[in-house]
Amino acid sequence: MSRLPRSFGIFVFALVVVAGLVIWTILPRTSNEGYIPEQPIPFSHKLHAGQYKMDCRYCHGSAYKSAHAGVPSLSTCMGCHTVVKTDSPWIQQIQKAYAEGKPIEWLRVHELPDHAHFNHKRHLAKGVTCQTCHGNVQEMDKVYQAQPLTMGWCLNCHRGFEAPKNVLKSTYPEQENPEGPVAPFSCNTCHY
Amino acid sequence: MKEVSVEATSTTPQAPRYWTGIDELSPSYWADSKAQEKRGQEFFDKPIETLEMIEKLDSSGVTRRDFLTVMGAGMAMASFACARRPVNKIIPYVVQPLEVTVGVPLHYASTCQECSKGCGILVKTREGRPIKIEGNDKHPSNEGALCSQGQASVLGLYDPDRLKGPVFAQRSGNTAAISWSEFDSATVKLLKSARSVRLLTGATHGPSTRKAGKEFLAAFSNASWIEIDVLAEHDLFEAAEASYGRRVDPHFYFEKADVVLSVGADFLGTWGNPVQNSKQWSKRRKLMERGDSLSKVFVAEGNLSITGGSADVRIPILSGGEAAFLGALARELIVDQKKTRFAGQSDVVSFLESLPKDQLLAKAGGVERAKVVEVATALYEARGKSLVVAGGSFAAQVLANLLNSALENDGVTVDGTSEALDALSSIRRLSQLVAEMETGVVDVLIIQGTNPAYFLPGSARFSEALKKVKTVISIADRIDETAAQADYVGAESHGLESWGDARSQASVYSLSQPTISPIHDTRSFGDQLLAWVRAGVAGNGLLAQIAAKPSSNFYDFIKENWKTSLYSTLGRGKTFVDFWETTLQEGVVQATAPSAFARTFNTRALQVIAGSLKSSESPSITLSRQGPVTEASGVALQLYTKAAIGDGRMANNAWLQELPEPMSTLTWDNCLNVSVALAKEMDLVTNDVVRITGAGGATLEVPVLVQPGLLKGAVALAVGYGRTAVGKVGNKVGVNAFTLATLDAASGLRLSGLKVSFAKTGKKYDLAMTQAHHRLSAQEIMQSKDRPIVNDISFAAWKKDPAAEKHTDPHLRLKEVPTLWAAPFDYASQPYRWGMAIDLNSCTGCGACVVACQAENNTPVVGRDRVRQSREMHWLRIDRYYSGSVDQPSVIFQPMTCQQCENAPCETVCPVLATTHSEDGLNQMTYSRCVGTRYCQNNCPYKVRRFNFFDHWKDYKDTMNMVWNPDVTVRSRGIMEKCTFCVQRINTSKGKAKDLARPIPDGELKTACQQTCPSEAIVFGNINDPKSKVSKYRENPRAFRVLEILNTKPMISYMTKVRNVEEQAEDHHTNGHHS
Repeated sequence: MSRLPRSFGIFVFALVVVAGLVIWTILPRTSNEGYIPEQPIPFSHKLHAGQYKMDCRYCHGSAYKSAHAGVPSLSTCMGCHTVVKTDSPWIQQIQKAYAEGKPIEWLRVHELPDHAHFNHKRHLAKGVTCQTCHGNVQEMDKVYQAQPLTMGWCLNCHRGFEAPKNVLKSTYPEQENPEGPVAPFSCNTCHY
Repeated sequence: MKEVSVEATSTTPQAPRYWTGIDELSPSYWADSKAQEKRGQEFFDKPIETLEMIEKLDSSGVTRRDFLTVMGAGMAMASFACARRPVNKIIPYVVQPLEVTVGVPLHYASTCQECSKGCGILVKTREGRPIKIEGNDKHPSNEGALCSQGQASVLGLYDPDRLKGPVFAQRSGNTAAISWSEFDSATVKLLKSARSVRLLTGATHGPSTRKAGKEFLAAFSNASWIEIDVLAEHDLFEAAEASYGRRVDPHFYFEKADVVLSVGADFLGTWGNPVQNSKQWSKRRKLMERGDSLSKVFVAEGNLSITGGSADVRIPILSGGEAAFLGALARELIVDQKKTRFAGQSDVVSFLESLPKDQLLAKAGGVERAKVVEVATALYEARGKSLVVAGGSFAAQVLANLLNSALENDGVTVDGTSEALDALSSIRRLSQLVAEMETGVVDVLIIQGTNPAYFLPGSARFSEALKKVKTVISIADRIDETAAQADYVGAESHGLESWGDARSQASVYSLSQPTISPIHDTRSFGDQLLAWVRAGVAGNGLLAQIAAKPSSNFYDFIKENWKTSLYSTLGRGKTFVDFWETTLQEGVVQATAPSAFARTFNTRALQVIAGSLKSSESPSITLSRQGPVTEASGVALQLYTKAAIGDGRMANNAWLQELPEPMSTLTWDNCLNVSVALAKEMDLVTNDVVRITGAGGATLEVPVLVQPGLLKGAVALAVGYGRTAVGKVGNKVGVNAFTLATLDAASGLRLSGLKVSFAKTGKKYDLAMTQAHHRLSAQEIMQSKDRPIVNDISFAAWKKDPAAEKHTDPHLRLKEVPTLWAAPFDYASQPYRWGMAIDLNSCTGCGACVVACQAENNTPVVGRDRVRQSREMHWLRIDRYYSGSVDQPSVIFQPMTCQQCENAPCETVCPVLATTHSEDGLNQMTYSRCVGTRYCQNNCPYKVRRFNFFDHWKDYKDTMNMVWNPDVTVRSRGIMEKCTFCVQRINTSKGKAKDLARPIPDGELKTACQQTCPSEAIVFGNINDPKSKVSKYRENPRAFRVLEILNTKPMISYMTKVRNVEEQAEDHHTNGHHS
């Protein structure tokens, strides 16, 4: 059996690499980690939540009441921006939209598929902070997806492996170094 | 309990005790290998779309290889398309309404507008769109329950075939969209110059609409209002007037009646308010403890209705013979047995004596005298606590009144407190209107909420008369059969978009409020009346007063009307604002019932009906043979109503079209029910098409269904089908049975006892019946008395031993079974474990639960062709079993859904763990994991899993996708699905319990099917709580589990049906049993 020329080996290797790259490119992504879209208005969480220390609930109030955190209505923005920084062209754009009754079309950063039901209220009630899933939003000029938001990532916390300390402690108050699941992980906890 | 086996009605000793179709009674059916193969099939062969695809491929010359190449390229492109996640937008409110929290539903109390009964509803809205309707448990009529129509009305709101705005229709179908101001100015001009105006409406529920209509008509010198509900019990109201001197809608108390006789009144399905009747009837059907009583229900009817199916004793009669049966009964009781106070009253006695009894019994279809004696005896023994209800004719109603008076039921089971009815016109008034129209004296005819061009038979000449009316204005939600002949059509809002009020029964007033702003450019009828007054019609009274106010609408009218009229009697010391807001929030307010008036039966009423009773017209069928075709003439046709379709106004609602009719399990069609005996003589089988010829010469071609339980000369056909202008869904579904009805001045629109003839055409039609689908009845099971799927016993046997009839063979009862798992999960120590009990004794088979499940769980409709292939998607189905003989079968309905087995056979075969068990005992289905192998479906002994062969959600176009419940995933193609015990509701309830730091209380959490059940047959709850209702049901000796022998450990228990018959009588009744 004759030896194949060396160039053939290189060719095969190159083929595998290219095929791999192509497959990697076309395969659907399970995680959108790092997604950082350009919003129609460059709203800065770093300014509002970081510098001015506005409570998350001021705008995302329904996070404590509902499965959905909600995005504030324009009237919430106008609560301050009828008087604050009215010289900014962006703010003027908001005022115009408000006057015309046209909502701003924000781009969604954190999105779970429709078959996964996430409930903000239940997580907050358990003591999970906003930052656990959304990252340090108060330091983000542009909001991006800081965590993978994949099922394995969710389960890591539900089963207690990477659960926040306070959640573990509140679930197992009598243990010194609490460990164990902190939330149900039946399929129909989220999928129904 | 004695061993009960079935003696074959015909020849075979092997016939099963319970059977689903008459073919199962023949021994050849069980021996036939083809039939056996078909029984075992989950889906029937020859899927249509595959064949079509192959044909297309063949004709286009594309080879299989080409096809695969193209498909492969398609796959690659699809993968590219998935490489980037779609960019989604979040569009928040500009100004968020204070009451809205995104993701939290709001409930509004309102009134159901789908029929004239006016049940109270709670509308669940999410972010401003209604997604689910439930009964309002504060409303005294329906007490939280709702029928299938009420459940489906939310889909009607999003019907894409609704009118988008007013149109100039020009009586030709050449419609041109116009604006409301154009509509108003054009119509007002015509109205002002009109010498005579007629207003023709459907049943108007509310005092406010009625007042507004009257005030509007007062502007014209020659005006009148005709209010028609084609299926209303006009005879009942008129008989009340003749018998008691007051035109009332009497109220019946089924819960107070020990013995009920219904003659031709399908009170659990379509007669009166079936939701209310079922609620009350079911209160006397719960047998939990020894010593509990059970009401006894006799039903004499021409067709086999669900009331007949739930009856203890059913007497088949001929439709049209209702009055004859009641006459024979009255004569038996009062004259022959000399009982009741009328026995000494000469005028009653002489009237009854003049009735030829044998002739009456013959007219009723040859009823045995013994049956009449049995009924008379039972009624008399329970006098003061019995009840007679009737349908069919005026004479039958008068005789029912006579019997109720004789049996001392007045004021007890049938009340004397009903208020006089608002003026619902009799259907005869409609004939007068047609006559007026024909003479050309009607200048303007306004039609709203009724569709006479559809429901009046051709002999009524309505369309011809309509041409002689100068101007026809229709207020309708679509260009229906009548609106198509109008000049102007004002687009009407849906009931869920409008303000209104209703009086659903004496002293009960309810409000309806909009739960969404009008989706299209539409108006409610009340708003239209205001608009006309504003545009120049001289209004009167309150209507003018409100119209004069700027930016007022019908809401202001209702509020002001309630303030001036109802507040004084219903206010009870509250301020008006308080009263109004409380009523609006609760949806209903009940006044103290007026004091009872003496219901003294006026014996003169009997003279009115004497003629029709004495007419010696005796039914006889003649069969004439012309070559191979046999024609039957002289058969008694009953045009009956299906609970789901009603008079056809909801025919464009796909949920209702696909809901199987309880008895025949037919979807998407109506058919002629023909008795087994007649079918045999005429050599007819199910799916044969026959041509019916009615009395007026009208003919219809319709497929036949061979229906057990009918007398030989009885046939029945459902109305509400054969619409031609209702929309894409309902057009040309079935045939319009109203064309066979007769309209005459004396008896109005006659729907029963019609003498017709019919003959075979030789054509075939494939009726989409679900009867043979998803069978859990293998031969061994069906034929075995030891492994019953359903159970029924007599009341006498139950009194002796409540556990009788439960799995009779001790060898097959599994006491202790080794578990499948090495370390079984300890479900019993969990806080919750969900279970259900379904009482077969209360289930009427009405189907409200099926539609409720569909609305709650985003279950798609599949259409007629796919139902034929056994691909319907309902998570919950109602199996119907017959027992006994084909002539007098007993019926059992069994709601069948996922049993949430502890040892679930589906779970062990799933290769991808898409179906697993949760810690609270649910058999969970994870859609996102499913790869569609369908192994689970194959392995499910209950046949409750449903597979999405297509992206059915794509059929929910235009506005229709707004109906989806956002809490439930909309499933895509290739996914298995099934009942989850409404896990989204469980999770919501768990959340609430956590917030309040308490466990979920028993009864707070209800599944959609349980919530809507009008007879409270479904109980759901935590079986780890021994005090819960469901635990008590499951421990009751009546409880059994289906196919328990398989050791699946189902979480649903069924409760044996108990018929109130003596043991001997049971044998006689079911006619096939012997001991």
